[in-house]
Amino acid sequence: MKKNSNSNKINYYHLDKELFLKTLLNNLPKNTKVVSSTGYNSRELMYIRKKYGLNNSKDFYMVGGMGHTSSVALGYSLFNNKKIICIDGDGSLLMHLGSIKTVGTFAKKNFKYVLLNNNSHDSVGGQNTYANNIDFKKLSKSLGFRKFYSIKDDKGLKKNIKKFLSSNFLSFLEVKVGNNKIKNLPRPKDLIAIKDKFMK
Amino acid sequence: MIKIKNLIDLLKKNKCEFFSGVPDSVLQELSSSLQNRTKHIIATNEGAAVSIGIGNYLSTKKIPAIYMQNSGLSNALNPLISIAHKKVYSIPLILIIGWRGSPKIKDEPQHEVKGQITEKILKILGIKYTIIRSKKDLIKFNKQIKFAKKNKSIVACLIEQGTLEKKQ
Repeated sequence: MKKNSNSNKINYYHLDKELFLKTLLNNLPKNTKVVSSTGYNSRELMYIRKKYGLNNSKDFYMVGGMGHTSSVALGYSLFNNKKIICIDGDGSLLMHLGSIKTVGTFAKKNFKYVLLNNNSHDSVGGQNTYANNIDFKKLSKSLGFRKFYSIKDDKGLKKNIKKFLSSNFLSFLEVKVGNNKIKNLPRPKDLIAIKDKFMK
Repeated sequence: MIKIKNLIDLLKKNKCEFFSGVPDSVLQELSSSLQNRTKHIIATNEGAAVSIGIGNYLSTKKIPAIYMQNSGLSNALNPLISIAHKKVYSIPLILIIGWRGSPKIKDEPQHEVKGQITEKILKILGIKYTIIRSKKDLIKFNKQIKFAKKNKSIVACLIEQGTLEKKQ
């Protein structure tokens, strides 16, 4: 544990979220759809897409409905083979933990689950989620995920992301990320346009 | 009373094929008729059911049906208001709500409290609804569904204990 230089908040993990998201977006197959959780996760995704011009895939930002990211992504992924990535946070996952069991039961290999775990409610001040002592490998396996992947630093980042993305089974990726802040993050505003683009 | 088939046929006519929800004793006939259906997901709470329906709409462009008991309607409020609402992402949804504690029917204390405010909750949310008691109520509900599809908004029906005819 070390203090984050930008605030008094504790950084549990240290992988730079921007680097992770940028590398993930860079390696997504064309026309992949992404559903991302409420708060910073969605806003950072939006920012990083714009900053690096990564427009191969489309996002649906959960501006509300905290904790329901995986349910929306599941609903999208059923009864078709369209690739969908769910980018969730530890607070969001814990808020409606039951939903990930429904995912484990019904989702197919076109559904990829990414947990950005920083052990905190980062968007609202960095308060503790108490997620740090959860064994997500055991948890995800018992919920029905066939494969578990873990990333905690930038060593072999691209390779590890590719391994996860090309898995032929329902897969869970835990990424231990730090709480470094990006200043002046944008906010999703023209929601109908975001939805229409996503549905195309 | 109505047959569950009448309601399901009405949904089918409106190209509503996908169901997600939390089982309810009032809606037992609905659950039985969905039992062997593939396009049906039982969710762990009502908000998740709404959200699975939202995701399904995003990929199919077809209005989904979400069922629940009115006591769980409050669990669904967050995604209904902050994702599906006309002023947010404008996602069309059909809610089928089992109505415990309706003012017409004597029920347990916890159901009576929620039963009395169920219509008010729908009104506050700006959700058009039909209380389904007989076959002719389905005509009104059908019109509301057509409007919801066109307007990309949420529509609901309330069903009391005993309305759905039990299969012999």
